[in-house]
Amino acid sequence: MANIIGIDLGTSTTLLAHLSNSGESIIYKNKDGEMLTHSAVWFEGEKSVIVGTEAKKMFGVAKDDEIFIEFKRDMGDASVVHKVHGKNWRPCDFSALILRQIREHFEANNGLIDAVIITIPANFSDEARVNTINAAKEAGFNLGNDALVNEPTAAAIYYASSSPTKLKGKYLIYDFGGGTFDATILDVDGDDIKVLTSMGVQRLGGKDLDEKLIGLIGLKYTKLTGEEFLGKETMSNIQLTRWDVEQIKVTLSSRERVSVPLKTDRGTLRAEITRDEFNEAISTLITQAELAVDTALDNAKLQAKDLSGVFLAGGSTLVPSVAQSIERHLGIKPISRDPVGSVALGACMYAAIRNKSKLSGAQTIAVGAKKVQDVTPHFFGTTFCDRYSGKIMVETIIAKDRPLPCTESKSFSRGIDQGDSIKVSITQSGSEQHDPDFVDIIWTDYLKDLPLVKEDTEVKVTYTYDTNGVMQCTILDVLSGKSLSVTLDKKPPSKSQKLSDGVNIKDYTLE
Amino acid sequence: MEFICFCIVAVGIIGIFKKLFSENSNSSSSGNGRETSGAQNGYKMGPFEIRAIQVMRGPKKDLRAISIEGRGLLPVGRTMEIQFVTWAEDVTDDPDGEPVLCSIPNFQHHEMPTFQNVQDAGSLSPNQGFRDWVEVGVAPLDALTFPRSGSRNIRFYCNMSEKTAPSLRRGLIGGRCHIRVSVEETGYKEWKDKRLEALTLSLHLGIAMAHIDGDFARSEAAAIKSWLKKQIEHLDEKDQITAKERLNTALTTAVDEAKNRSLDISITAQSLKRSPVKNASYDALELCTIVMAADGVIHPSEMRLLREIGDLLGISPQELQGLTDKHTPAAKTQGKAGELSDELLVGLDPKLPPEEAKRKIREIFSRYNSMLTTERDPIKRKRYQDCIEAVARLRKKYG
Repeated sequence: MANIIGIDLGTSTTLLAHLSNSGESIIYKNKDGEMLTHSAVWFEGEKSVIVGTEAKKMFGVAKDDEIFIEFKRDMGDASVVHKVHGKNWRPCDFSALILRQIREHFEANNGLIDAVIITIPANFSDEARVNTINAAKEAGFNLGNDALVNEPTAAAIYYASSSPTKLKGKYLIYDFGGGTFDATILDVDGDDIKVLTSMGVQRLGGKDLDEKLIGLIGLKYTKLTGEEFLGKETMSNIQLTRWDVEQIKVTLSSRERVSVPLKTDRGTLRAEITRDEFNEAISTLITQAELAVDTALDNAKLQAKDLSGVFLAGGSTLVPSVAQSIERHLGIKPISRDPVGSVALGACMYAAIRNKSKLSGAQTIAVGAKKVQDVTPHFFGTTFCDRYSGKIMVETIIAKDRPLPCTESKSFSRGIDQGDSIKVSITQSGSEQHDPDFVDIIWTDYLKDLPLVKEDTEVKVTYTYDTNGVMQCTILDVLSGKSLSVTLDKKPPSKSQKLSDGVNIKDYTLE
Repeated sequence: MEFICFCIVAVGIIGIFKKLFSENSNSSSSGNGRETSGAQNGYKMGPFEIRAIQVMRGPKKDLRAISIEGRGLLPVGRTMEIQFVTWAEDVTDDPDGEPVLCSIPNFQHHEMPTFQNVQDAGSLSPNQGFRDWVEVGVAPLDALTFPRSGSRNIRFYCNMSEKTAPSLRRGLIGGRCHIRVSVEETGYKEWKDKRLEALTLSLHLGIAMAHIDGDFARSEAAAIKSWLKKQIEHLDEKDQITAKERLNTALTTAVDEAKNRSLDISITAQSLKRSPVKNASYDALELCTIVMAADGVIHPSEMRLLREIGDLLGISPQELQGLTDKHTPAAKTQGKAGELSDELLVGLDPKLPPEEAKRKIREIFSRYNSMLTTERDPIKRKRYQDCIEAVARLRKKYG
């Protein structure tokens, strides 16, 4: 039997699901017997690293430069580098450590993994996607460039697979995870799952709920002591860790109030936090989620009444006011079926769909004839010089939410004043932008040695985006027939672009 | 090296000109109206001469053109393929002539953007010529640029040459004529003046912004100086001296007016809006935005003035918001003068009807959310995150 797995590499927690003999997707417990592995890394010694719950508990206790959490938020940001024992570590290196631990534990008990799919937020940038693939490769996974799926898409596959009745209609996946929020609208007809649109908020998750709770505790602290709450520093003064804050949040999900002990110089004080206070503190965050849902509905040209259902994914949906806000906002009672595991479980199903040739007979029957059609995650465009204003501007070539695969072309002109070469830049943005200051330039080159012209000639720009998220771009000077092509895929970096300066995660022992 | 240009409209216009004028050139190159002069037919043609007349062309007869017509004997010693080459000079201010430019490549000299039109006239034998006026050249008037605007005295030249001649303008015979045309478009020699005028107007608006809080801070003065310096650094030394003198005078005037509260931003903005200089209004608003953030704090009164100036200049709210996002991320939005309202921070018009306001809030949210995803600069990220939170508060406020 082939080992088919799906991994939800989350901001707060990481989960692994595997396909059972009968074709069912099941969460696989980590080496500590837990369903989820906290996405936390603690460098206990120069070459010794602790990953998971123990590391998470040490946040705020261990030295700041030896413990790292929530690094997924910085994936793809080349400027984020942490110095640990003299070596440079980037967010993807920390992710690689997490992935290595769960891979080693799974393979030690089950043999080599045959196929894996890793989930990412729907609005992850191209660099962050590449970094995720690279982290998995660093962690020893043998995977292709088609090993990623968007988290809400994975959750949709899970809900479609586990539904007691055949789904038909438009559904919203409300994915409120540890670090990001995604609102995805799907058109489901039994085994056919078509993503219509995804709207992600990069900095909206459980971490932000925790920050609001810390702010609330700070207000209570000030009220009790008359002293100003100084944030993280005071947190350690009152001996409250991030782990404790998370536990308070979890408790508030089931109880109306929590008494929080604040250990100060004057002894232990008790601050009472009520659920109402917490709800008020997080209300602007929930409003952001509502705005994302509304924008997704706008993008899909739908209204709330057109939705057949709302499915919840992500641990933050366990906060009661989150689910209540959906019902109040959309007038639909959301369905919550294993929201913490749904993304990993769906990713495992997706891995099975993509690797049907590796499945056993029973697994093939269980997986069925499911088909998933995703959409382009961003707007992709090119820069050009607007002749009338003289400004450099951005023109969209492929819009966001185009069904995959897709190909789009646009024609531009090359004039007498432009010499024998043209500069070509490929841009990426989450909304349609015309100002180059507000887009990511993901590739730039020159189409050179062009014949000089005496009148405007056509330059044709064509982008093709395939189902694996690989984009092929061609820039053709029609007059001369000369062209420039580039394939933007998720290949690992060359040796000169190694992930980290001198860091090789194989040199580190995972405790 | 340049960026590719997106000018489908321009291609369309050029296409129309090409078509229209090539149709005309065909009529003359076919030898229409050509006759033989001499004893054989008892008719003797006069010497070759040309004239210029203003005509309207195009399917709707709405494109202004100057038709160069020729008549008379075309003296050649043998049969040859000939062509007519037409060019022009503006002799209004300089009897030696100043160049006339053309924006359509097909009507340009092969090395310069000056007007030149070449028309094939087919085969010509000795003693042949045009008995009646025949078009030998044409100039697309609306595509021509003269040294200055107003009534211009234009001298046209038209030479006939053999097609194999090494130089187009070394003709076997030629003529010249004058025509007076009325030009509304700013002349290329007027641009320096117009640019300087736009800069002084921008300076006035910048000073108005600097004085809105009643104090012309050193940082604001430095921001204006730096911006102006950048605007004139491409000028040659002599022009820079002229520009500095004029801008210094304008600065003194504007500061005095601002102190006396007689600086009228409405009149200044209207003049800028009429300026033929590309992006003059946008550039002026950019200066105002830079001045607004120069002291590190954006006061509500400054943001209100910026939006008022933006309105007067006809800059769209999106462009204005783009400018503030670009130039003010490090500035605080809270100071002695009070806190910037969420509406002012993200550019939401509080007078919008509720449904429109809700739609606008979603649009603004989507924009900042996208910008936050692509931005790497932590200062800008912080600003965009603040804006997203402001949008969430507005959403709660507007329902």
